[in-house]
Parts: sequence; structure tokens; C-alpha cells
Amino acid sequence: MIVLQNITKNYGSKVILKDIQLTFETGQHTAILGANGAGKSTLLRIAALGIEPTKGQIYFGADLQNLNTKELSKRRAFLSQHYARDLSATVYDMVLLGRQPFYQHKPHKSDVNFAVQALERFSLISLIHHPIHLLSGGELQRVHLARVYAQILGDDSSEKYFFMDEPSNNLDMKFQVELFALIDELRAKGITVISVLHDINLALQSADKVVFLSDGKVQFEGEPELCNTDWLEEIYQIPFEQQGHLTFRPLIQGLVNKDFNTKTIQQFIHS
Amino acid sequence: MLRKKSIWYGVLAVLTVGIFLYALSAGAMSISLKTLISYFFSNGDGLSSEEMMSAKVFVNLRGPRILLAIIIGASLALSGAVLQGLFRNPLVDPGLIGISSMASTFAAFSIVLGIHEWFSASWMGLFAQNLVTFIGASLAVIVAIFLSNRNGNLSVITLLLVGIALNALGGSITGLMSYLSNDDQLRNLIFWLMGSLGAASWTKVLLLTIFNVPIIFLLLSKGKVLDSFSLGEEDALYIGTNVKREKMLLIVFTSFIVSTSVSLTGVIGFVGLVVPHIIRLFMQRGSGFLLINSAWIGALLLLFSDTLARTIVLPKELPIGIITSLIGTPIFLFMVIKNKKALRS
Repeated sequence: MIVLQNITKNYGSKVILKDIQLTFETGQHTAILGANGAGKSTLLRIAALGIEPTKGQIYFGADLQNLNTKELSKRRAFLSQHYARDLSATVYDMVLLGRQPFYQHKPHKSDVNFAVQALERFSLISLIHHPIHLLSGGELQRVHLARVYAQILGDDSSEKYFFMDEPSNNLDMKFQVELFALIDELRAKGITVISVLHDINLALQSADKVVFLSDGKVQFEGEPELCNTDWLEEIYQIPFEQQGHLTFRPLIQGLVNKDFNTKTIQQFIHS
Repeated sequence: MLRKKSIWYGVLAVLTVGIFLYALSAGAMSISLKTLISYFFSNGDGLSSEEMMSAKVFVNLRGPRILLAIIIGASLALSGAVLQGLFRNPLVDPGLIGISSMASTFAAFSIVLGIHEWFSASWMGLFAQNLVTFIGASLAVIVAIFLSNRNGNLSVITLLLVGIALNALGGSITGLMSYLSNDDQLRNLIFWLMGSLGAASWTKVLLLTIFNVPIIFLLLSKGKVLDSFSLGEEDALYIGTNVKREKMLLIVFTSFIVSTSVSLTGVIGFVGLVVPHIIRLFMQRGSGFLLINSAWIGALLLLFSDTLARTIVLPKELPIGIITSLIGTPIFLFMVIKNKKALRS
């Protein structure tokens, strides 16, 4: 379980997060949603102990925040939003990086086995010797997913955390479905999953709890069933309609007529 | 893949033997293996006075010079490889954070204003200029680290910006000093600015063995850490690297071995920048491979360059910086062209 108490984060005079109170339950998947710039990624990085908050307290599992960097990394994996492309390392080297917390100088046989297992899980075996800079965007995303997955493999008895910042980026439909199968698999092992997601419907269908951020504050939180068009319209400032159980759709037609007329453009230019 | 690696090490072994034999044998005085054996094992019995002389030259001048070239070449190239990995920028070399230019500035002060003469009465007299230069290099490191430090975390961008400022400042002061200098001082200064291993001695070898060699071995073990930095600093933390500590340690140690090298031999350009690139050109491997091979090839490159520097214009010597730049520049341009072709295809 992770508990965030009164978390505030400022970059200079810019306030990113204001007085956040949140609990991420053990073994559950919590999805963080919100408009661009709402503070989702910052919240995720603070919860994962990657960056420090300006103010506030974090309780990370059973005293895990007191572990050293290496020991903590055996229990917590983090998928970032952006990674360098211009690397000469191979797909295999990259996935093996996920096992770094588990060895001193050279990977053990078990580390290699876990890396191969992760490569298989994300259908990367055929690309194993490819250099990173030759991969497509979706392939690169799968490589990093495999890396963080390799990091969380093994020793199922201890408390573990899996963080993902927009994991479905660049993934095609097949691998988006795979991703959510992965989240189910992790949850079944008792691993706590916390993700930042843009796809509302995938988030609602996969998460045990959704958190909507707006301007650095928690606007709504609760079980996915509680989500309604009022929430979404307030968060994203566009009209939505509900199409079925846990399925929502933005009303694009209305948006075009309302927001992109010549009068608005002229007002924008003259302001 | 294994075959490629064996070919690589095979070529390296041949080069090592070749360059060693060249460095041992080439020079103003030639010496036979028999003379050396006799000098070492039978106290020179049966050697002519000429042979004794050449054996002494070999032991007191060429020997330390070869070892100095090896340690300094390894130090410079290894520092380049470490800093390029740490900053995730292939264009970084130890000079970039202002070490060489502040060292030059202090050397210029020392030569032109005679600062080293203040120490000349004491035991430090012998190394006064080296000491003054080392102070300059260390000052650059301290200023750069102090200004880019934020709660124990070094900002790489600030470090590079401070380096640009220090380089500009150092350049202008060195310029001023050379303007103020007389002919002798200017010649001395120019030789220093382009580096030379001419003043090698066993004491200097001993100093570098004490200071640089342990750090070289420590840095060679940092391949795993540098691999983690390839993901970026924050993600290195997520895979268990103590980012603040490792970054500080890598910067302080690389700066230190570059500072000691620069203070003993003057500025030797291009080694730190080019050697890691030569390796990447042929072999794309992890950081561990890059580090050990950078140290190895750096040592060979400097040994080869120094042997050329002391033999091609006999009985005079060329500054070694001229040779390393002459070797380094075409390699660098070749890489740029190769990269351009790779990008196009």
C-alpha cells in the first residue's frame, strides 16, 4: 500500500501538485487520468519515490522507503513516458538492464532467464539482436515494457509495485490488449499496479480504482463504476456520451461546431 | 559475435606488441636486448662505455616515459568514455568542463609570472610547475561542481555551461599571458599547451601509479552503472543506481586523473574524445567493454604518438598534442561521414 499525505510539488513558482491525499491499495490497479498538464506524471514519479515532493509525506509499503536504491528497485519497477532512441545497445541488452538490481557485476543465469521470459512475453524474441535505434516506436515501447516486466519477475512472495506512465503509447490494438492482460497477471500475483493512462475506456475496464486529476488536485476518485459524463466533461472540458457499461465517447461533431468556428479563431488572433 | 570479439582482441594484441617494440627500440639512442640484459643482470660487466650510456638512457629516460604514456593515455581515454556515458553525449571530453583550460591558465601564470619560483627553495621546487597546474585543474573542477550542485545532485547542463565559461576565461587569460611573455617563456608555454612527455621521470611514474592507477581500476568496474545511465538519470535510479553518489564519484574521479595527467604533461587533446569513438566504430558493446578497451587503446595511442613525437624530427621533439590531433582529426571526420551515410541509408 502507498499512502500520499498532503503532497505538494512546485517547480519554481509553478505549482504542479496541490495538497494531494491518495491511497494506492496493495494488489490493485489504480489508473490516474486527467487532461494534459494536470500533474499525472509528476504524481506517479513522486509515488514511485523517483522525485521528492516539495511538501508532504509518503508511506511506501512496509517501510520500503527506507531501503537503499538497489533493494527498493528489486520491489519497484517504473516505465517512463519517454526514452532515448539513439542507443546502440541491442534489444536484449536493454531488457537485461531490468535485472541490474539483482546482480553485482555480471548477470546470473536466473537474470538471463527472466530477461528471455520477458522478451517472449512481449513477442520480441525475433528482434533480440536488433540495435535500439532501428526499432519502430511501438517496438521500442514493448522493449521497455519487457525491461520493467523483467525487473518485477521472480520472488513472488515479497511486496512489489509496478508503475507505468502511458504504457499504451505507440502500441497497436493487439499489444494494447496484451498490456491489459499483463496488468491482470500482475494483479493476480498481488503486485500493486499504478498507471497514468489516456484511454479512458481501457482505464475504466482494467482498473480497480480511477483517480482524475485537474490542475494538480484530485478532482474525482473511486471505483470505475462511479465514473459518469459529468466527471469527464469537467475534467476534459468537452461533451461526452455514455455508450454502455464503462464505455464513454467524446462528442466530436459538437466540438467542431462549437469551438472551431471563425469567430473563435478571430477572437484568438486579436487577443 | 564471439568470432568478431576474438578478431578484435587478436588485432589489439598484435598492435600492443608492435607498438611496444616500436616504443622500446625507436629513439635517438638505439639499444640491443643483449645490452639491456647485461645491464640488469650482471651490472653491466663487459659493456663498453657507449653501451652503458645507452642502457642508462633507456632505464632513466625511455622506461619512465613509456610507462607515463601508458598511464596517461589510459587515464585520458577512460575519462572520455566515462564522461560521454554519464552525460549521454558522444562529444564530451574531459576538457569540456574546463579542466584543461584552467590548468593551462595556471601553467601560463607559472611560466610567465614565475609563480613556480616561489616554491623553488623547498623540496617542491622540482614539481612546482606541476603543482601550480594541478591547483588550476582542481580549481576548475571545484568551481564547476560547486556551481552545478543542487542538494548533492549535479546538473549536467550547468556543469557543461560552467565549463564553457571556464574555457573562455582560461583561453583569454592564457592569451594575455602569452602576449606578456618573452620569447623563451612563449616557447615554453606553447610546448606545454601542446603537451609533452619529455620530462618523464620515475618519480612522476610513481606519483601516477599511486594516484591514477587505483582510480583507473575503480572506473573500469563502472560499466554497469554507465549502462544504467543510458536510460537517463531518473530511470537509472529506478533500476537501482544511486544516481547522486555515482555521478559525483564519476565526475570527481575522472577530473582527478585528468588533472594529474595534465599537470604532469600539459594539454594532450583528442585522446579522451576520439578513443571511445574508435571503439564504437568497430564494436557496439556495453559500457564495460567500452571502458576497458578505451583504457587499453588510449594507452597504445599515446605510446605510439609519443614515440612518433620523439623520433620523427630527431634530434628535436614535437609536442605530442600535434600528433594526437593529427591522428584524431581524420578519424573523427571519417566517423562523421560514416554516420551521415548510415543516416541516409
